[in-house]
Amino acid sequence: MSWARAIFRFFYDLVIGDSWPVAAGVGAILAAGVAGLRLGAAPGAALAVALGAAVIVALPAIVLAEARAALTRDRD
Amino acid sequence: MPSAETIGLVAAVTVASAVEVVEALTIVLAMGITRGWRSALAGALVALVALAALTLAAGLSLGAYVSESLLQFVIGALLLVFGLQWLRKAMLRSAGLKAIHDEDRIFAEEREAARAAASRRRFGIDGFGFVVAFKGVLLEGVEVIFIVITFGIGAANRGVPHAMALAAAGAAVAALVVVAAGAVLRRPLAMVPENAMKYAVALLLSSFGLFWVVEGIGFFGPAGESLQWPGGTAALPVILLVWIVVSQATVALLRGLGRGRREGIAP
Repeated sequence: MSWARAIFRFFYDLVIGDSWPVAAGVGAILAAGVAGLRLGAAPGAALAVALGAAVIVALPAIVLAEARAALTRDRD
Repeated sequence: MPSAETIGLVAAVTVASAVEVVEALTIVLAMGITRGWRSALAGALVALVALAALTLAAGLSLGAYVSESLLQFVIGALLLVFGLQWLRKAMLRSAGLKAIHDEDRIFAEEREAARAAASRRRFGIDGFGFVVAFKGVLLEGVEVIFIVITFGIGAANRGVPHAMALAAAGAAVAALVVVAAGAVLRRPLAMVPENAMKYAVALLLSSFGLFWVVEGIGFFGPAGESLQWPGGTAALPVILLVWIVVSQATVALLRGLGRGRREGIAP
């Protein structure tokens, strides 16, 4: 059991790491991409660019939100 | 003339592997100096054997049981999430909001812990030195294997010739150079610009991951075919450039936020 827990912990650290919102954000964007693809929302190349842009915008947004929250906690 | 994808593959795997081997080397050196070289090297050797078995098993099962397009999606998603975690830490470090990775400090901490631990010897091997060296090499080694396999299979699916062999060669060269330097110096490689290397690797992992996962998402469409980026492979350097610009802009914004508060707000 301790080995299973250690393996889970290792892969959790590897993929999720210190910030679960990053992994959750990527998961949400990919899920939206699958939905968009199935609904035929946009041509393939346009969808690729939209998904790429969403990920590239999401990371700084998450990091800045985390930093603001941590600084606010720190001041209180 | 090698393609941009081939150069990126070898560069990413070599630099990422070097970073991981530097971390493993620090632990093995600390154990070797304080608990004896026999125990530290035995732990490292057993971990390397376990890693070889793991690589063989993972490589065979991935190639045999997972479809190509699904593999592209899964590999891309893993690389992307892994790369974004590194990029997040690199941006926080650059902005002074997270402590810089310091091999000298880690070495000193490992050495003190090793000195304080009780000695239990079996078959002439010190248990503490063996286990700590084994765990250090195994954990950092699994990350190297993860990078080699994901980059190797991902590039092979895109038609890069001998992709897996190139990825493995990149990791092997990195390991040889770092271990040779460590063996000569007998101290942690603190002069290696580890934080800058981690930032470069994060940019490469995030770029390749994003490129592949978006293509692989086509697996879930009605036709089950990969999506195409405008310009095909030429989109890859553009994505890399955008990540560089966006991450530098984020670092500038973080510095503004953290003015007057230098370190330690992030885990």
